[in-house]
Amino acid sequence: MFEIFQFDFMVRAFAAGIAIAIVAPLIGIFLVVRRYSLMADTLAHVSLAGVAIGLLVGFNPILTAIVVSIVASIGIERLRNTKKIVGESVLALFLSGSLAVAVILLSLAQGFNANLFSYLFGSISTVNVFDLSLIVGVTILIATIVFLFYKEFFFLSFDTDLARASGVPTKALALLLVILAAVVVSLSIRIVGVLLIGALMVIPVVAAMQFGRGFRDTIFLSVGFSLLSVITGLYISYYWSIASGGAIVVVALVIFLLSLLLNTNRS
Amino acid sequence: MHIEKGPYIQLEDVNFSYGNNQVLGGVSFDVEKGDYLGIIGPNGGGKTTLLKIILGLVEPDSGVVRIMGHDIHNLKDRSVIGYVPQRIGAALHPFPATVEEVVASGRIVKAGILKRFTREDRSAIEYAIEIAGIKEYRKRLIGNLSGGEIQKVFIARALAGEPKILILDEPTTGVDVGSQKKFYEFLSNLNHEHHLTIVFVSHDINVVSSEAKTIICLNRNLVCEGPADKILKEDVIKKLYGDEINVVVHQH
Repeated sequence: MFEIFQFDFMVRAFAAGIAIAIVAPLIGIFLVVRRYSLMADTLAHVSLAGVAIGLLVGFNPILTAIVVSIVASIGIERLRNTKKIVGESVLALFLSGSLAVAVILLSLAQGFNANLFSYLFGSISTVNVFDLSLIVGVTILIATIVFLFYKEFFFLSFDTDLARASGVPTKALALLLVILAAVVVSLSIRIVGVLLIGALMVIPVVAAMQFGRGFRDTIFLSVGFSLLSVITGLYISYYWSIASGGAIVVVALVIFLLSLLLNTNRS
Repeated sequence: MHIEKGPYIQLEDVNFSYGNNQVLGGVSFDVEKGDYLGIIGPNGGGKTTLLKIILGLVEPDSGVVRIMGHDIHNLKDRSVIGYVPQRIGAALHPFPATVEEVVASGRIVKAGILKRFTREDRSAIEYAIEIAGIKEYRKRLIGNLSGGEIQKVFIARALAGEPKILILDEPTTGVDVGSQKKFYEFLSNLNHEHHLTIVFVSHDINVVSSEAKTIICLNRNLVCEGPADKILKEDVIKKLYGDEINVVVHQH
């Protein structure tokens, strides 16, 4: 069971995977309860455009993905606040628009190959030392921000109007939240892949919500489910030689179904 | 924040329109310390908009709103106002939050943004849970409670910030008649025993006339203002709701 850790790339994949597993539901829960789950998928597609820029100019694609998705997240929030475009339409606009840009850039970069496959669906062999340092460092930063803003994020999510009436800077907090989501999505590309990161941010959270616990307990449960999904998924990915993102998300889905079954029977 | 004299809430010539549709025209009134004010009026009469303007959620086209002597824009300590919005009902159901967590969120502004809760904050949250009588279901999920229970939780949340003024928007919508009576007894107790200044909006003229000390009748303009027993005459009610209404007076 532990022999896979004799390979450095597996150690890096597990370390990065564990970091992503902690931080994805930590931000994901706020997206889910704010009925903003589609945001993760939108930002994932935007980050693919960032990856394409990185591949085209020969720069680290994770870094370009982070920059592009942060810029897009600010754009999404600003457009939403103008109220000129209805809620989810903003997300649809960015999702399809950024995918179109990504396809054009990837064509130019001649990136339609196995390399692109690893960005779309995750690959355990692609996490290099720089990626690992970046993922772990930024994960610690994001977890610290969530810890510091926990009360305010909760208030914003539960009752935005009241939070605003009480003098809480709701617009700034909402923006911070989507920026954090953008960073998490970009960081997760190596492990889970662009097309599946949304699932890791959402499925462990909705699985945890089946247990009918409070907000704090739901966060702990969802992080637990996410860790279980990532660790089991990485093992399956290694032994069956399949894309890590697919394996992780299938495990997360099984956990969700078991949670649903368990709690349907109990209720 | 303290003021020794002067009204707790003061509105001067407040006007507000949605496009060409005037919702509030020249509304002025004061709410004194310790008052228990009920605002009545027909649907679309501007009641909720008025509350939102008092809370600073909606900017009036013109006019001034002062809270405890301060212009609403310069009100630094927003925790002086506790707000109980209209119950969101089914929307609360999937939200994974316990009663305790919801009540604690009412203390965030008083505690200070980015500050951890102190022992004093925890005591205030406990006290709010106790006086709202929701101790026994503090660990339950908010979405699993009845209408009356949710309303008590929202009041506890407002009280956790130790406000001077409590503002409620249609507080008993979706609450059964038995629970409504208990709810207004509780509100009256907060006004008498805890000296809380209360402003509430309701479309139910019977509830407002029997519970509030002072009444404001609003139908885009201020139709009447004064003590409940003196101002609710048939002509005023007809002016507010239209001539087709029948007024039947009974003793409570």
